Amino acid sequence: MTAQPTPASSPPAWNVLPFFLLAPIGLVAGGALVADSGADLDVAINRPESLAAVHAIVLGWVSTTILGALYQLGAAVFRANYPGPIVTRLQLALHGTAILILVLAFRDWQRGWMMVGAVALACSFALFLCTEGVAIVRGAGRGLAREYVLVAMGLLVLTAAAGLALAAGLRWGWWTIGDSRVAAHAHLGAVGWTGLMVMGVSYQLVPMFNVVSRTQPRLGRPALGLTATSLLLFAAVMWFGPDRPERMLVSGLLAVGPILWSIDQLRLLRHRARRRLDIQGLATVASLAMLALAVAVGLVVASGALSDGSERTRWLVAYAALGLAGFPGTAVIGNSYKIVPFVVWYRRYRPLAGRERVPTLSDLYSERLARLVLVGFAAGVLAVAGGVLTDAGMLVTLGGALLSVIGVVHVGGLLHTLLPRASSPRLPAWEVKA
Amino acid sequence: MRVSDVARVLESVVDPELGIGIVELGLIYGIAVGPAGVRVEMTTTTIGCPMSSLLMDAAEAAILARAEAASVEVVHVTEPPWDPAMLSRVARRTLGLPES
Repeated sequence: MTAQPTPASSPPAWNVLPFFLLAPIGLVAGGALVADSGADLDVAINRPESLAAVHAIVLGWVSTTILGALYQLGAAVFRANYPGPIVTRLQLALHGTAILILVLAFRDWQRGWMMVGAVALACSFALFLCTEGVAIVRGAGRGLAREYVLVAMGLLVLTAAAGLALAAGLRWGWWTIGDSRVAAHAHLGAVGWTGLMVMGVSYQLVPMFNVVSRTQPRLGRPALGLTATSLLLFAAVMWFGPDRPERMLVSGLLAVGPILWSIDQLRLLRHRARRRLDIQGLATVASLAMLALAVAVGLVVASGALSDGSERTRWLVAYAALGLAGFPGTAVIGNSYKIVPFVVWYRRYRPLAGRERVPTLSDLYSERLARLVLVGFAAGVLAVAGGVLTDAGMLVTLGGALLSVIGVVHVGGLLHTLLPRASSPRLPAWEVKA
Repeated sequence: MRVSDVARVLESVVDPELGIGIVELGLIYGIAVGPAGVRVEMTTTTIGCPMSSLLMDAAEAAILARAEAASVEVVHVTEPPWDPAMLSRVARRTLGLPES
């Protein structure tokens, strides 16, 4: 009947939902680790607690959600064959175990277990790329979002390789582990994997949920090309020659792609027919604001204007909070409150649509709770970043505790979608038989 | 069965994301009723929207169930592209657009 993308081949709901429901444990743990660090967070960028918190949030929360989202969007949007329930269950178990090992190993600074966690995590990502990744490559879907996803998956390989190299270096002392190599790995993961994934998925979801029809993305491909190319240059310089003068140039170049993407997203939002922003629209605006702040702080760090030592470290930690957690986290919150209700609606109400009155997607989740999660998360990230920059340890502790609490509320908000619902009273009257 | 009967049935089919009926959204481009059955031409607000097939299936199910048509064909069309000018006054108000 149609060549359009269709959710008809989507995975069964309970193969996707556990990714979304378990992922916020990473935010809870990461927030608790930040709160526990408090005033010590700005002592060094690679403190055990800081590394544990970053990996709990980025891998535990953001990446696990991305994996679940891609198993759903791969089938529904990119027309990829779903790899099957055994793969998704194995994926979730392997990924969760690997992150648990890695986060605990960082916290307790157990180098042997770090290597074990890194290898397990690499296996998890390899499983994902060899199954869902290959399915998306072979899928009939085309378009900008898919191109971003494919490039992000390629950069995930480099991120994992750099992570394994760092873990092996720590374990066996084969090479030195400096801040620059950590930065190369962190940027490959934050910009290449989670960043490009968020950027690409936005090209699919922002026009769809905000009813954008009078314009098309204009800067998507230049933004993708520039981001990927400059990221590879940045990672190479930081890994192999961090003292080279090109370092400042490639750092600046790295900001251009995300800025182009932001301009494109703002233009799409400006042309939306859905003027009242819902949680996804608000989260998109929040993620753009977080990205702008991260880019600004990152450029200050890259400019060399800061004195070496604690001042530079404080700015680096603030940059990490905004870029690693704030930008992808806000987007993940907004998209979670679209994907999870859709998965539930599709399983429960789709067979009844057209035959009887059924709830709408917005009936399935609490918009108020979703907004509370978004605002609380953004406030937590800003408190951590602001606290680190102003050397206010109590603010960092409060921010971390808030992130932890918001992680719990987020799980509650997502579980809320599973409750049975009556049809919406706002729907048109049910007509008599013609 | 008349075209207006089919239109009335389609008024009850709602876009689950926007919570607005597909007729109010201006997605229905044409309805034809003949001896062979009912043919509906409809579009979607966004090209490549995964909701397209859901809306088309719901429209088909509604007509089959409530207009007692022998056969129903729902066709997705993309020309002319959907535009907010096609929204009804109620739909514009729901989305927060000016009504004029």
